[in-house]
Amino acid sequence: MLDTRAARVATLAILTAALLWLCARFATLPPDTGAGNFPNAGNLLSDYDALVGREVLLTGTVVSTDPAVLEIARGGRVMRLVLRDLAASPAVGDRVQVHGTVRPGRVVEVIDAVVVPRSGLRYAWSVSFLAGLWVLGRLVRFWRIDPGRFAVVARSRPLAPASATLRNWLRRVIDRG
Amino acid sequence: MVDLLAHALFAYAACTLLGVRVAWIGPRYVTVGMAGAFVPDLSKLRLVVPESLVREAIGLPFAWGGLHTAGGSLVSIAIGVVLVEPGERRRVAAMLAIGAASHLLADAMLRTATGYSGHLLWPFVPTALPTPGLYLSTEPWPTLVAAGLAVGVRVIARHGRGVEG
Repeated sequence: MLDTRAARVATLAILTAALLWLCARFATLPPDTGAGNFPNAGNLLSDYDALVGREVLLTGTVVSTDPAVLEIARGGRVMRLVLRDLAASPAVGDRVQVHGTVRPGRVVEVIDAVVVPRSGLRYAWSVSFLAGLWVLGRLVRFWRIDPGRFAVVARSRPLAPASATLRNWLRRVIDRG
Repeated sequence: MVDLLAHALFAYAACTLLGVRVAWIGPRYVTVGMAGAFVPDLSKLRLVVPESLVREAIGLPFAWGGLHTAGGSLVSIAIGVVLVEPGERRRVAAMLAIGAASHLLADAMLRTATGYSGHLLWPFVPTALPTPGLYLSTEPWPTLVAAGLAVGVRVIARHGRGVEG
């Protein structure tokens, strides 16, 4: 089963369609605050007035402080909101996740907020990049792509780990020099 | 999300520990488990391909967040399994699933503004789940804990292999 290239390509097409369908269904999950599913930035950008008085969950960037102003964006649309009753003191550029109640006049009354400073984001992205390199290196060491079979196959002999390759290279450099 | 390094380390620890009991789980398959830990974060493709672009292309609503769920992860894993040679599919499926599950479990404990962690088990569980709110996504200490676990498990695994001879 699924041994031929044609069968695998057909199965991949079906699975990709299934994935797109799942993401389409996910996009239309109705906001239901009782289930922990709050209207989000996209809902607010689509119809602000309909959400006045309702709780929302927004993620955006602080564009000014005192008062804190959060900028949300989705699909090319942008909106700035004043955050009232924010206990934290974010700096400009910080990312903030806000759970709050929408009030008239582009104001959100904050119930709770999580502030992610820019340094935290830089840390997360940097170590995530390193993790990607580490796992990719291990994958290359133990697996390879066989274009003829249109498959990922296990190497019969794993490549030497990067540390061993680096050690050998350094030894060669030292011996030459 | 917790940073990807923490996810990779948690998966490494879980898979290496399993390998103490299950003989075929060696470095090759531990690596697959670590790759599985990245699967739910395929939702980060939204940074490269805007949702609006996909919506226009397929003519349907679309949210990359669907990939950061149990259902999205399962279908993504199935895609990976189809791409692997036939003799390896069961093992690869198992290891990818362990890795993806470890990612969702770690994210289920993130601190959020609502006290809910998101639809991690969707569509099997249709609601968002409450979270104990143990850490922020950008705090380094989960990564330190994961690194400590990974080192400890590596020592246990090596000792286990040494005892067996």
